[in-house]
Amino acid sequence: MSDPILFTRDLWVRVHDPNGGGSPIAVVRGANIELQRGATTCLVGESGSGKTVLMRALLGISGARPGVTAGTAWARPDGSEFPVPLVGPRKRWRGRALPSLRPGWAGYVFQHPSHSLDPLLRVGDQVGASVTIAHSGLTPAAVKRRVLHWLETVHLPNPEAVAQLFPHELSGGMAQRVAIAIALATEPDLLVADEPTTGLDWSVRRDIVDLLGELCRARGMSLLLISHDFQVVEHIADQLYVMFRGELVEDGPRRAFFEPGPGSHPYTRELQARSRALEEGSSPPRLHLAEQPTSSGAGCVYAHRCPWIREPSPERSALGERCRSVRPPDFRPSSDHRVRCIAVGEPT
Amino acid sequence: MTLSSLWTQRHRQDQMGPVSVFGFGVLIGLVGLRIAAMFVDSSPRLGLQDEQLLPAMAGPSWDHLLGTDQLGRDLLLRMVDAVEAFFLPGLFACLVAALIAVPTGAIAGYWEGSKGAAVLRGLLTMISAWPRLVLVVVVVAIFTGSVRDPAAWAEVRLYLLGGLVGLSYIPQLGGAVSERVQHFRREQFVEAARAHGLSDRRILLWHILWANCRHLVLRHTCTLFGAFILVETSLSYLGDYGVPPPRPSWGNILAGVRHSVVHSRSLMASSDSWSPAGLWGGVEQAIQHGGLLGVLAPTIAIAVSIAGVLALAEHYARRDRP
Ligand code: SF4
Repeated sequence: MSDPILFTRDLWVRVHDPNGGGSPIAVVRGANIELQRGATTCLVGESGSGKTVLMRALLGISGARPGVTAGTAWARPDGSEFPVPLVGPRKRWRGRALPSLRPGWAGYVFQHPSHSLDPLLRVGDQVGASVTIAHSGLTPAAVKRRVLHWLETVHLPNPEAVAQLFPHELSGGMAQRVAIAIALATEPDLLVADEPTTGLDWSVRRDIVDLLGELCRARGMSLLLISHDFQVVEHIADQLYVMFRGELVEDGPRRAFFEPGPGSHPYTRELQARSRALEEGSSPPRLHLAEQPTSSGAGCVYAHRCPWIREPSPERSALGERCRSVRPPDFRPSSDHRVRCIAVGEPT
Repeated sequence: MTLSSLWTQRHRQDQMGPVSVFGFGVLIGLVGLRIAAMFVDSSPRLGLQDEQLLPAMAGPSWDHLLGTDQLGRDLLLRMVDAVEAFFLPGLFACLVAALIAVPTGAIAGYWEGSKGAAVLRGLLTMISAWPRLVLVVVVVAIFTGSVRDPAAWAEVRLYLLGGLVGLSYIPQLGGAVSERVQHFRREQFVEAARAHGLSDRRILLWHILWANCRHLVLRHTCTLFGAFILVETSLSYLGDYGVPPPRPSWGNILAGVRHSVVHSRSLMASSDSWSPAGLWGGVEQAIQHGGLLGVLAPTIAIAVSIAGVLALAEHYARRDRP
């Protein structure tokens, strides 16, 4: 049974070259994504793969570069659908984006907690601002009660004292908990966390991710977790999307990624190998950056880096030519698992 | 790190250094003098009366702590009364600058790229193209004579000066505010607040202006106040455009006694200035008979006041970047 809270159909985002030359570059290519109600969806890909742009275009948050969008997105906050006004980063400061249509419907936790808090306002006041988005017309005392409640919810010790602090007095982990409290205080149906663990100590990363998972389960909230690291998402993902150069190359439920089964995309394997190596402390496999991606747009987006055509086995010797010229079809090992790769679909 | 150690850390940061203490000391002193000036009437504004009976350029005595000026008026009283000349007009200058520059800069910065912002930016540039002192002199000259009552005109002229200096400061303050707003507008916490559905108005007023521009604005208004003291005293010293005598200003007090400087120099030169005792004797002579205090008092007052408000500006500049 599928009950998405937010979904997109063939969503494209193009940005203009900052140097002003040529036609816009597509940074998100035809994304179909579904966020199920009450489930944790993870969007995985290396930095620059377009995950953040996708999320921003969808949720109406400004981007650094001007661009245009195409495609459709629909939100279903309470069963009834309405189209999400896609915000090209160009219209960043105006336009009726999702946040102004449904204030407090979605909460956001960004990377680098030190940047997502106002450095000169007390923690309590910042959480308080979110409280007033969810409930207008509260007395200051009632706001304060809720602020303390939210600080407690994210397991901050001694909320009374923390509320009086300024962000620079918090450790990274505490600051990220505060950022989560700020997002939670708007009482959202959907929580979006964009690389919530970058800039944090290894020891704290796991805590933050576990906290996010726990909060979403307890409150029946949907979670969209964006990360480059499979180890981070492994514990809590229900549904995964893997993104490379703007394309969703693979998606499926968690078992498709973390249990042995029929093929997964070579890029997924690369990411998994990298995060495994990072965790074991050995140096991650080197990237083959020598070859430039094809600019024509034909062929597989991963072709310039794919190990299968770089070191072809005898059975796959003819692969390279096809990968570079033919757009790979979607292969479905099972009904809910999709891999966009020529080789995975063919018996070797 | 425990919470209690965080507390002490913050309190250490909030402590004031000597610069801040000096700045606030001067501020309190100026406020005190301004209040005292309300009860002091150093020069009856209709002609000179019994003051004429006092000797001119007298040295300090218990009755007249700083001595008297070239017309025999009590110097200390005039020094105190002179604070009136720049205090409220100076605040008025700050008010004019802040009330116009902060909203202009904030709008130009927050909605950067829109047409309105471009127009505001053009206005700021236009104002900044006017040389400050020329603007002041020209406008005051235009208005001269339009108010008949001389006492009222003196008052109006001071506020006119204040308004003009404030206006001429708008590009600087507006530019600083808009630059700051532009910077913070792109910060993640602003994006997060927007994404959560906080209104633009609240983000701009609370997150950006109140939290992150407050100290910047205070810093610039302090500098502006210092600039106004300088403009007012300079114009009053020069004569035509400043405070018209008999109203006192530190500038025209200095102008009144400036001829005595020559006299006191000759007094000092006549003594044997190569030995400490001789030097002190010369200075004493100059104070007693040459009106040296009449020169020193306004000079030091101007210097200390400006240094004080600039120290305040420095205090806020330090607060500005945590
Ligand atoms: S389609 Fe070809 S290039 Fe792309 S991932 Fe599969 S094997 Fe590699």
